[in-house]
Amino acid sequence: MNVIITQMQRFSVNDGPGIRTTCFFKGCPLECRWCHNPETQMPFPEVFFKENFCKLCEACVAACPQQAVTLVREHAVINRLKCTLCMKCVDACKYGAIETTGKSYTTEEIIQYVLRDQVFHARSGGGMTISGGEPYYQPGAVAELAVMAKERGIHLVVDTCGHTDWTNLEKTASNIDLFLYDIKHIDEEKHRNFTGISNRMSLENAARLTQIHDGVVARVPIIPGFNDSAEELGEIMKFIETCRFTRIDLLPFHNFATAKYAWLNKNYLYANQNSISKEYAEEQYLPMFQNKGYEIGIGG
Amino acid sequence: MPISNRTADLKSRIVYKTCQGDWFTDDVKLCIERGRYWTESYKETVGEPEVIRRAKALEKTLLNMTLYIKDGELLVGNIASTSAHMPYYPEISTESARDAIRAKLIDEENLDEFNEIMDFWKGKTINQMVEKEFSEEELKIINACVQVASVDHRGGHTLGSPDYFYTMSNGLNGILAKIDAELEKLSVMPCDETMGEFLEKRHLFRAMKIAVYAVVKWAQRYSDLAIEKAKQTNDPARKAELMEIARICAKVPGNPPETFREALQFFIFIHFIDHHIERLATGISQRFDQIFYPYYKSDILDKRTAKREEAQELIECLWIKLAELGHFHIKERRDTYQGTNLLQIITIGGVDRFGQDASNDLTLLILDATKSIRLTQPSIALRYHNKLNPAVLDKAYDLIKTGMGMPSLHNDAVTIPLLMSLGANIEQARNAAFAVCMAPIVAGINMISKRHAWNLQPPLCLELALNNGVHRLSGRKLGPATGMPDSLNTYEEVFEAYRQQLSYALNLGARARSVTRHYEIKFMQRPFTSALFERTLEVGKDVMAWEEVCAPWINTCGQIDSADSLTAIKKLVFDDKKYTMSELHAALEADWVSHEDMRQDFINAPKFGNDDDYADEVAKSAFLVVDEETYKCQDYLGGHYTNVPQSVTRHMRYGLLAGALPSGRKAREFLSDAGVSPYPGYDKYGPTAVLMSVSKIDHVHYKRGTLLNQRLAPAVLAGEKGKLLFRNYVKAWADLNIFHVQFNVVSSEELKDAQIHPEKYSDLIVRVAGYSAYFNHLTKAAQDSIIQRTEQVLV
Repeated sequence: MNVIITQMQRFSVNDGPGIRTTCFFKGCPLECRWCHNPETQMPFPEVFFKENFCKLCEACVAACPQQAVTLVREHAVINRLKCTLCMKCVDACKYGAIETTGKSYTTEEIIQYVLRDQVFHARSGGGMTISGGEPYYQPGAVAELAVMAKERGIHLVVDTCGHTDWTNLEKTASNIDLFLYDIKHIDEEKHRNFTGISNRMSLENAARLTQIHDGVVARVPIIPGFNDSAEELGEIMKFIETCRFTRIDLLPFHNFATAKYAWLNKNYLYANQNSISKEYAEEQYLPMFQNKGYEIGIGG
Repeated sequence: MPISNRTADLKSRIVYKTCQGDWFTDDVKLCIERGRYWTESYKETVGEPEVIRRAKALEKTLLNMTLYIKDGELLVGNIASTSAHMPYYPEISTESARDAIRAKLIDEENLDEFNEIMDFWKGKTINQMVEKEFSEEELKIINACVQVASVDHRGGHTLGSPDYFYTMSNGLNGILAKIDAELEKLSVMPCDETMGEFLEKRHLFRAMKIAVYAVVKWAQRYSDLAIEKAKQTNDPARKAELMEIARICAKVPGNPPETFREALQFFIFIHFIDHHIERLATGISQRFDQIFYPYYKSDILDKRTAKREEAQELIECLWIKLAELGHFHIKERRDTYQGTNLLQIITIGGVDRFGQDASNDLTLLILDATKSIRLTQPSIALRYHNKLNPAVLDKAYDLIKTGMGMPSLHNDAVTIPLLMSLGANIEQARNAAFAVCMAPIVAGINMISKRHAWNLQPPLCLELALNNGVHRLSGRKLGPATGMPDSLNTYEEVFEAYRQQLSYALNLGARARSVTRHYEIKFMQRPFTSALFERTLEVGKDVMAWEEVCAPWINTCGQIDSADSLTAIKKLVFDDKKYTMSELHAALEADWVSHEDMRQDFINAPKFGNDDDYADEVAKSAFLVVDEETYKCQDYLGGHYTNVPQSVTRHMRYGLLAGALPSGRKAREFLSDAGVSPYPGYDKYGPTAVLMSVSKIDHVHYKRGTLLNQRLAPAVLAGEKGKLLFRNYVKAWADLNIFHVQFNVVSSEELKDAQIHPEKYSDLIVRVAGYSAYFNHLTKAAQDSIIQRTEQVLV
């Protein structure tokens, strides 16, 4: 089976235990305003344009059949409305300024790539993580990779927001060692405002998944202006306590994704928002989750 | 922080002999004394056997040289007249003296005497004797130091690993008694074909006796000096310290040491002579946590006559003594030892002769002291194995995290079979120490006294192969005519031309080396060092002349540049047929100027370090051809050379001499900075992909080691999580049978800031090659080279 991904990240140490190889699936039902991986939202290949690599050689301008790439005041510009994603400009660029993000691989290719680091996985208690995007946007691929990982003894973590048909989770749960499960907000309206969809399916699935699986970690992104008030985080904690999560990870907002938005010529509403430091998160947010019997981590 | 005010103060008064660019960081000078007394003695001993002349010259030097004891010192010893001076070896070559005079790095009143000394040695130096053996054309290539640098006839560099268990358990007086007993046996002259052997033995033993006795007397001079200084001081505490120094120097090295402090003082006396005054040698080649442990255990753990803190202070004092040592190297070495002067590597950890963990409390103390005193020398090499006490690895982690680049990790799983493949038995192989940065040796046997490494630059050989033997930047013909690029019709032909250039350079270098050793055996004997091996009494030959074969080696700089270049040629010219060899030739001649699009294709070709099988396969063959051609060269005893892929800082010097390469590198840019590390910036998939690429090379095959740099962002190692990650990373590294790894853990931001505000970073230490250096002691180019190393961050 084929699966579209943006990247295989080796030596990944923040997406589950040990040293891992993380596979970023492309495609997501949500469109979170603060999204840290904007290139994983659309389920098809896109074009990154990295202006600082551009040498103004105009090879892309010549290559584009739609005249979508032009030179404006010493800057190459891609008109995204005209662009048909034919990727001719990518082939023309020799300086790595125009790149495709998103490529299709077979599940076997992905597993083989993961196995390249098996010595590191074995020594560190690591393995493979499927992240994204939303892995369950391509549910068949998750299911297939989970079976393959199980067969080959690869520890598997899936990082999900849970917005998928319950049967997708139910079918795969027994082949997945650990879930990293996002709990973003409890209020449905606010969730819809900031992510584009309702949180009902996600919260219901969280409750059900923790009933049938003993390794589900709650991951709470802390996003300024969205859920960082004491009240909102309090609600999240209350919800967590109604389920059977094994641990809580707080993920404070960072603005490292700003560059990637620019590469996609997308507007980033959080571009001017400062990152939350680990120290600040420890002082400000950690206490709201403490003393409830959960192991808590900051930053995953 | 240093453990005491004493060591903090002594550290602040160190005069570093660090090479920075062409010269030295501190205000240093070439000392005339060793040259003076050596020459005076040689004038007096004309006609005597050479080995006896060497011993008498040593004796004259030791009895007359200026001694000093610095305020606050607990351990004493010096090799030149002040701590700012470096010794002069007139018998090797006049090169460093001429350099020192030109740069006004001598005491002016000695100028005439320096000239007289050089006059006396005219025609008698090793350099001149060696040069006479080569044709003018060959000599030009030897002295050009482009693709090959075999310069010991000019620099006179060697190594040594005395048997400290033998030496310390007998004391020099005990050794003298043994020599006397052997001489006694030689009182009856044979009347047969053994006469030559008999005389050689008798001359050597007599010379050893003179040399060993001279060292005991030299130590006694320190004792006398300490008493003198004690008389002059009014500080009762210092007076007592000086009297203790006087007591110890009267006892060791004549008698066996009994305390930890006596053992360290014993070591200084022996080491300063065998590595510095008798001959110029580098390295330490000893397992410190093994040779000194019995004394440490007795004083600190059993009898409790001294505290652990006192032992740590003594280690710090010893490190300060070692940090101040140095030599006035010739230019080629000044260039290539950026940020250091001697490659003093202390070996710790590893296994005992039964294969069990040999680490102990002294191992931990050495790591503590190294962290607290924070000096660039000596450097620490930790022998890792899977039974190593986890506390040792955790302490190593603590030290590595400070960014000092120490300790480097060496893998016993490779080191031990590697030594066995050289002919060591299992017990010997388990007693491994590192001669200099990399090369493993068996500690305490005469494996390296008579040999040292020399250098080959494979990318420059490749350049010659792609330019019909002509060096691109100088236009000089330095290699055989292997054809212009357009006559090379297949990848195999390119590879064959490369092989021929390697073969020519290696053969010439090896011959220069062997001729040097021939003359060293005749004129550069080491009678004192010879006395430090019990087996000398049996063998009856100077350590330089033992016929036992060991592995001489060649440092190869920039092998990865060759590998990446060959990969790009194979892919773009012969597989994809996108470019012709003529087009490539034109682009390289033009230094890629006006060929930028083409250059991007060559940069984007597969590269080593990405776990990419295409690139890694070519790299393997590129490593192998160097190794095969190296092995074909034999030294004067029939020993086969092996190669050590490591650049030290040669990647800068030789980078300046290398034209554009098919890897996409431009002329005069650095070459790759280690032995098996990817070219900076060309590895794109993180540290595990690097290790996987590196693990495809058979490290046991490289009998003298392979150097791997990894630069990690400080955040990777932060906190408990970082500690756990480090442990697991090291275990995986060991599983992959990689020989060595060393770390730079300083962020790019911090390094760049240090370039702008050097005053804020006087204590910033970074890993350069097989050693560490103060960042401020490096040239801008060397600093840039370290910043350029790909920083492995977390995403």
